[in-house]
Amino acid sequence: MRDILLRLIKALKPVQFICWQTLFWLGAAGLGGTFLVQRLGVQIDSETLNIIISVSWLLATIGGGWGALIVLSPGDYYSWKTVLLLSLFSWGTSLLANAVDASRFTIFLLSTFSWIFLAIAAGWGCQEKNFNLLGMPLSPWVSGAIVCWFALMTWNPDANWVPALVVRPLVSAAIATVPNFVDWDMTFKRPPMARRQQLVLLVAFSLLLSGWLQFHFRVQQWLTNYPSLMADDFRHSEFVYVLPNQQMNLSKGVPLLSAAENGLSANLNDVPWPRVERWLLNLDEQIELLEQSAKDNISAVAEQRFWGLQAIPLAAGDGYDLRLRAVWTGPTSESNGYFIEKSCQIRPRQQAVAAPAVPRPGTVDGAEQPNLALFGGGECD
Amino acid sequence: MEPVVPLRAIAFQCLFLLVAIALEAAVLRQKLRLPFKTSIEYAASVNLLTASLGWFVLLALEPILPQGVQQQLISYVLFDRFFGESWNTSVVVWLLAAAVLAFFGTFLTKLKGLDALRWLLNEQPQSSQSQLTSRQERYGRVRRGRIAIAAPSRQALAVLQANALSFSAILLLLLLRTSLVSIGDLS
Repeated sequence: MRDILLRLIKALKPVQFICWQTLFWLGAAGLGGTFLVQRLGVQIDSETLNIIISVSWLLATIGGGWGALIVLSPGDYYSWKTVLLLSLFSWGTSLLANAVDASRFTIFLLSTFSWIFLAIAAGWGCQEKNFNLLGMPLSPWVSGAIVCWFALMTWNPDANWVPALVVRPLVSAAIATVPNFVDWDMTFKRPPMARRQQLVLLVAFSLLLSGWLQFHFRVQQWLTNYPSLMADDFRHSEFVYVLPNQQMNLSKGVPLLSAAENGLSANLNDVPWPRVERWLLNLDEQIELLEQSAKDNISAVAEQRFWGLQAIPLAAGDGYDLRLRAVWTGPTSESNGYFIEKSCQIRPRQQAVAAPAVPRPGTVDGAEQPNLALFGGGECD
Repeated sequence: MEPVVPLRAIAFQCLFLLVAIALEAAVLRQKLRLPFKTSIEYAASVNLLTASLGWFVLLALEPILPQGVQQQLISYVLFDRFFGESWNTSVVVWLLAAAVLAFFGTFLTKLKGLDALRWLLNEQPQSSQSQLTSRQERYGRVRRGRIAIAAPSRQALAVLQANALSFSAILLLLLLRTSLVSIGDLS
C-alpha cells in the first residue's frame, strides 16, 4: 500500500507539459473549484458551472484513467479494474454535479458514462475471472442486465422494470455475439464456423427466455385486470404454479355484496311496509339498479361485466327472505361459475309515528300511540 | 405482483422440447445422413426457434383476439378448462383450426429455419426447392405432358416427417397427461 502511494505521488508530478498529469490536475482543480464554490455559497451562473464541471470531468477522466493505467497496473493496459475505477469516479462526479445543481444534461451525461463504464467493467471482469455457469460464460448476462437496467431506467425513470427484464436475454445474446463479429480493429469479420452454431443456439435460447418472461408478465397483467381470479384455485392449471404460503385473497364479490346490502338497507329500512312490498314486486328492476350502483364499488373495471347480482325472494314468517347472490360468470375452476350469497331477512317492524317528528325506531306500546305503521327493516348475515 | 409463476409451462415446454429434439434429430440423421452431433444441433436450434416464435405469436395475438376467445384463453391457461357459457362447437372448430395452423406453421418455420441455418453454416446448399429430378425424369414428364410439379426435396420431406413425428409425440404426451389428471381427479 505504501509504495503504491509513493509511486502515485511520484507519478503525479508533471513530467512534461502536455501529459496525463497536467490533464488530471486541471480536471481535479476544476472539480475542486466547483466544490469549494458550492460550499462557500458563492453565486456563479449555473451555465458556467455546468461547463466547468463537464470539461473538468472530461479532463480528469482522460488524465486520471490514463495515469491509472500506467501507474497502477504497469503493462496491464486493459484491465477491468481501471474501468471500474473510471465508473466510480464518474459516479462520484455526478453526485457532485447533483449537489451543485447542475443542469440535467450534465448529470445525465455523467451518470450515463458511469453506467457504461460499469457495464464494461462488469463484463470484462467476469470474462477475466471466468465466472462460468453451466459452461456458459456469465459475462454477457451481467453486462446485458446492467445495460438493460440503465437504458430503460435512466431514460424513463417512471416506467416499471418489466420491459428491462424481458429485453435482457436478447441484449445479453447480442452482447455475446457482437465480439464475435467485430474485431478490435472495428472491422467486420465473420465468426469462425465452430462458433456459429453455438451462437445460433445461444440466440435461440435467449429468445425463448424472453418469451417465457413475457408470458409471465402477461399472466400478471391478467391477474391485475381480473382480481377475483386470484381467489380461485389454480391447481389444475398446466401453465402456472402458485407459490405457497400466501394469504387468502378475497374475491371481489364480497365488496359487491356489501355494497348491495347497503343499497338494500338504504332502500328498505325505515320505509313504510306497503312500499316495501311494492319494491319487492318490482324486484327485477330494483336489482338492476342496485347492481349498477354496487358495481361502482369494484375498482377493476374489466371485471365488472363478469359480475351479476341476483336476488331470490322467499316468503318467510311475516316478511320475506331475500337471498342476494353475486354471480361470477367469468373464467373459473368450477364448472358453471360460482356465486357468493348473502341471505337477508326483511321483516316488518313497528315504529311509532309521531305526526310532525321524525320516527324513532323501537317498539312502543300500541294503545297509547295513535299512529302505528309497519315499516320495513332488513338484516343480512 | 401476484405470486404466480409459469413454472409448469416452462417445465412442460422443456420436456416437449427435449422429446422433440431427440426425435427430430433421429429422423434428420436417418434421412439426411448427417452425423450425430450435427443433427442434434440442427434439431435443437430449429426447435428453439419455433418455440420462441410460437410464444411471440401467441403473446402478440392475445390482445387482439375477440373477447370471447380471450376469455376462453385465460380460462384455459389458468384453469385448464373452457368455461361452459360459450362452450359449443365453435370453440372446437377454433381449436382444430389452431392445431392445424400450428402444425403447418411449425413445419414451415422449421424448414426455412433449417435452410437459413445451413446457409449460415456454409453447408452444401440444399434448398428446399431443389429438384430431385434427373434428366430422364424431366424428359419423361414433358413427354407425358403432365404439369411439372416440383418434387419436394429430401430435406423438405425429412423435416416434414420429423415435424409430424414430434407433433404426434407431443400429442401423445398431452393425452397421457390429460388422462392422468382425470384419473387423479376421480381418485
